Amino acid sequence: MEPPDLALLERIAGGEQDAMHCLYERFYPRLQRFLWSRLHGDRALVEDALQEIFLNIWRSAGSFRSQSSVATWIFQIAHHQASRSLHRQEASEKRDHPIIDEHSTMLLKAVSLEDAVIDRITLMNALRQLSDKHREVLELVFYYGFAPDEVANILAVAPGTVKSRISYARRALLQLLNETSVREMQP
Amino acid sequence: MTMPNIPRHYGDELPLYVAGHVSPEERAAIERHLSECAACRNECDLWRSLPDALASTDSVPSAILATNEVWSKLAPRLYDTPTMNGRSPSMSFTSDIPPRPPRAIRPNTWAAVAIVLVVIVLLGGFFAVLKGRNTSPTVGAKPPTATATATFTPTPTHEPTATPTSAPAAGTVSGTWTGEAPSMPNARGSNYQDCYEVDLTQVQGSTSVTGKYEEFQSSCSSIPYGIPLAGSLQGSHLQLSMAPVAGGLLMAAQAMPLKPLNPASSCGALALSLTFHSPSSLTGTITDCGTVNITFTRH
Repeated sequence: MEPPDLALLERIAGGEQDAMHCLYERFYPRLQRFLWSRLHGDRALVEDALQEIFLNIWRSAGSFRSQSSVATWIFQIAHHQASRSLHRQEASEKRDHPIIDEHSTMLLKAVSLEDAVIDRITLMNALRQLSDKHREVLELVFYYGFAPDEVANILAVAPGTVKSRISYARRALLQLLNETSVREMQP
Repeated sequence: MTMPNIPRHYGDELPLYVAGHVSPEERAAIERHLSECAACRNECDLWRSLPDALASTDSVPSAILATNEVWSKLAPRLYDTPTMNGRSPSMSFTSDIPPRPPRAIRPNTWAAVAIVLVVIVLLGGFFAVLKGRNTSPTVGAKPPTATATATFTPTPTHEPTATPTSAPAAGTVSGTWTGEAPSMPNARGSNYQDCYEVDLTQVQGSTSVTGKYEEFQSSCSSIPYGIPLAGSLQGSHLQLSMAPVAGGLLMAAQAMPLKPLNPASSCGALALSLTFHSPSSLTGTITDCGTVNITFTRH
């Protein structure tokens, strides 16, 4: 049985507007949140990007080749659009501040990790300090549930790049949490 | 602080292990290691808590961009933009698709849309009123196919909002159905099967159900927190659409406060609460990749 997403897309390719509305309402919350994060809560930018993404889906539904899931395809469009929006705003590098000790074999110390698990605010703050690239890859895997290969499709990078990006994101996150832990332990 | 004296940590592999994206061999090796390494176990806990933290980070303020608001601006552009109709094989979905500028507006298209919408609303008058509210979360494992039935106990609190045409008058039938959403192999929102059809031709005792379909229809786009529910009439089928939200699945048929069933989990539980203003018993079948039966019974 065909997944409904695919069935909807086929109907959209045929110009069925109610199918488009159904797909819109299905993906709107996820895309809105994705863009809200990627575009740093710029309301106008998010709204513009949402419109462009759905217009793109409407126009391009007939090009879908079922080489991956519809959701992957749509997020690929969304990622592309977000990048374009950011580029236009010349903001893509503003929050990119990698803070990684790439050669360390960092493990979060048990005591600070325990604190981090208990203190969700600490973890949220650390996530907010991650670079866009690092947080995006973590969100795609842990929030939206995409597999690394699908993330590679969405981001238009090699699967190995996704894994290394996750690895860097991990180290950056652990470093941030450790720094927080150290600060809290200082008198 | 001393590091545990173990041959190898699985640090970089732990995120993907927790997310379920390692091979069985890697999983076995990691789990052997975890049985001996408290630090790695603790880090796993961190990754398990990540969906929750991400859900709370940069969440979109409610009502900032309501579903309707964007749609109302999008629709005119959308409906006046031709689809490709699959006639562009050179465009691969695996590559970035460059957005194209919208084409010129064709007024005739809007007229056609308006006619279609009017017809849908008029047809809606023959269908049952559907109202809903959110229900309590139900969390559980999700089989590829799931079947659930429920009986709705009538609570005739008020008269139906539409005049029955052929069936006897009835009170409000309300109840709560809870079942597991079918077919979510990868435990993620995008795989949730979130279009369901209620076959109104399966109505027992009467071939027509009277109500205000448009009431349901109008409520679809006013769900708070930007959580949409769409209803559309497809011939004799009333199609309900709902939005998967971050690992939880939501469905409602009226503007009511909704909460994700479990935003942090990959659970596929589905809960639906409907208030049914129906003058007759009806049996509907909700089908998807799996099959879920839902039975509305008027006593």
